[in-house]
Amino acid sequence: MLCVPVDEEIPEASDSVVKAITDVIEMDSKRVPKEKLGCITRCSKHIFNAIKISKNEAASADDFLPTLIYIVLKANPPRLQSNIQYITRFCNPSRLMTGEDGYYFTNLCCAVAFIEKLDGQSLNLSAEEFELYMSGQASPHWTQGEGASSSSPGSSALSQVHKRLDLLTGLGERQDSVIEKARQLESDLIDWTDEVEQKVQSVLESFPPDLPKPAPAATSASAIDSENVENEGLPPPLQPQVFAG
Amino acid sequence: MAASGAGGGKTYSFKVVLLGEGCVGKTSLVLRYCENKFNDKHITTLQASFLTKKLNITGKRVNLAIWDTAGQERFHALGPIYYRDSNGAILVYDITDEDSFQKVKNWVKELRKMLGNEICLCIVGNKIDLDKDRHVSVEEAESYAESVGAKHYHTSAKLNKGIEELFLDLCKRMMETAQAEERLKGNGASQSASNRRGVQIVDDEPQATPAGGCCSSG
Repeated sequence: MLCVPVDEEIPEASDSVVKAITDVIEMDSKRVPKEKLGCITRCSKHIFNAIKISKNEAASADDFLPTLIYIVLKANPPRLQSNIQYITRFCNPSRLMTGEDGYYFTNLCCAVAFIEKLDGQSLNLSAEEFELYMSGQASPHWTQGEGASSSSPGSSALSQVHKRLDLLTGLGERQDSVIEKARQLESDLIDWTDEVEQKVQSVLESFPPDLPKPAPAATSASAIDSENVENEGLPPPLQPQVFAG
Repeated sequence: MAASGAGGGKTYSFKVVLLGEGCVGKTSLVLRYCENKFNDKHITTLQASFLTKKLNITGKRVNLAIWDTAGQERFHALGPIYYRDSNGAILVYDITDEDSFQKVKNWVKELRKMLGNEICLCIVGNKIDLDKDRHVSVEEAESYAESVGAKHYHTSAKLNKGIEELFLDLCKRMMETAQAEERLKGNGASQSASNRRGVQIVDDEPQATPAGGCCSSG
């Protein structure tokens, strides 16, 4: 595969990787070629840092280019091709051809050219293997690659992907069980209301004579109202008194 | 590409690419030359892929920018992006590895085809400390180098052998090429040896303060 010599299990290294990604993405927001080049240079410095932490030696181009390709793939910088064209056309040619910025820019161009032409051969894969990976029928996994896969530096990232995939499947299962339980609860609730209704019904049926009993009371209350029996006991309403004046 | 210098005399700026298969010792070679270190845990530079060296050759100042390239076979197709506009190329092979010498031959063919004779080629057989395991004969390598107009050197980054000579020789040859090119263009053009581009922009940044450049006022 790409054989990226960066161990992202080391916090400092993965930190540098994140910074490098941020810098290469930031390039799009800069206006002048010089500032865009500055972003590429900063990105490259972070990559060197990550390699140095992982390998404990000064990074050579053999290590740098694969890592840069990895960073570009991971960052997917906005309008990368346009930015490269812009820098090529408007930057001072002598700066692009001789300086340190120029070196990193050239490497970025190489990384882009590599990605554009990416095929099985350039990843040391056979045509069939490449096809399988591209169609999603195969995925790099710990168990598949035995020793070879586990020893390659890229596999740490892949194992992370797989851990996350496992987590996601676990999450899906749990969600299914939650939904199932929610349905159970719903049907339980329906059953419960039915049960309550039935109980009320049965109670009503078992005490039918109780129902008419309150009825006379109700009629007597209305009788009181109609006959105004109570009213007679009340003092006569106050009469308005007229004061002379 | 020779640029104008500040003050007396002139400063040459040369770009040199290091080509060769992975593991032949390109990086060790250049680290030995620029830092005088080999396989050292205390290398101060963060990286060994872009290194510069300032030289003074017969009173003329030379700025050497050495570009390391990724040697893996799968990056071979990216070569033209690297060696474009370079003044010199150092083609490194491992004397114990016949295959790496074949790769050098491929590089030479490609460079001559793409850049013609403008580029100074050096073919370098590295790791002469492992002479007992030699698989590329001295005669074969030297006669091949001569046939393609390149110089051949034997070096050992481990023992620090032949490296100074290699770079010094290369610089002298690149200066000769640059001077010849200048004469061809007439003595008036002291500014530039490359007029391949339509517009010549003079880089005046070294004189300007970092904040004062026309580019940095956003």
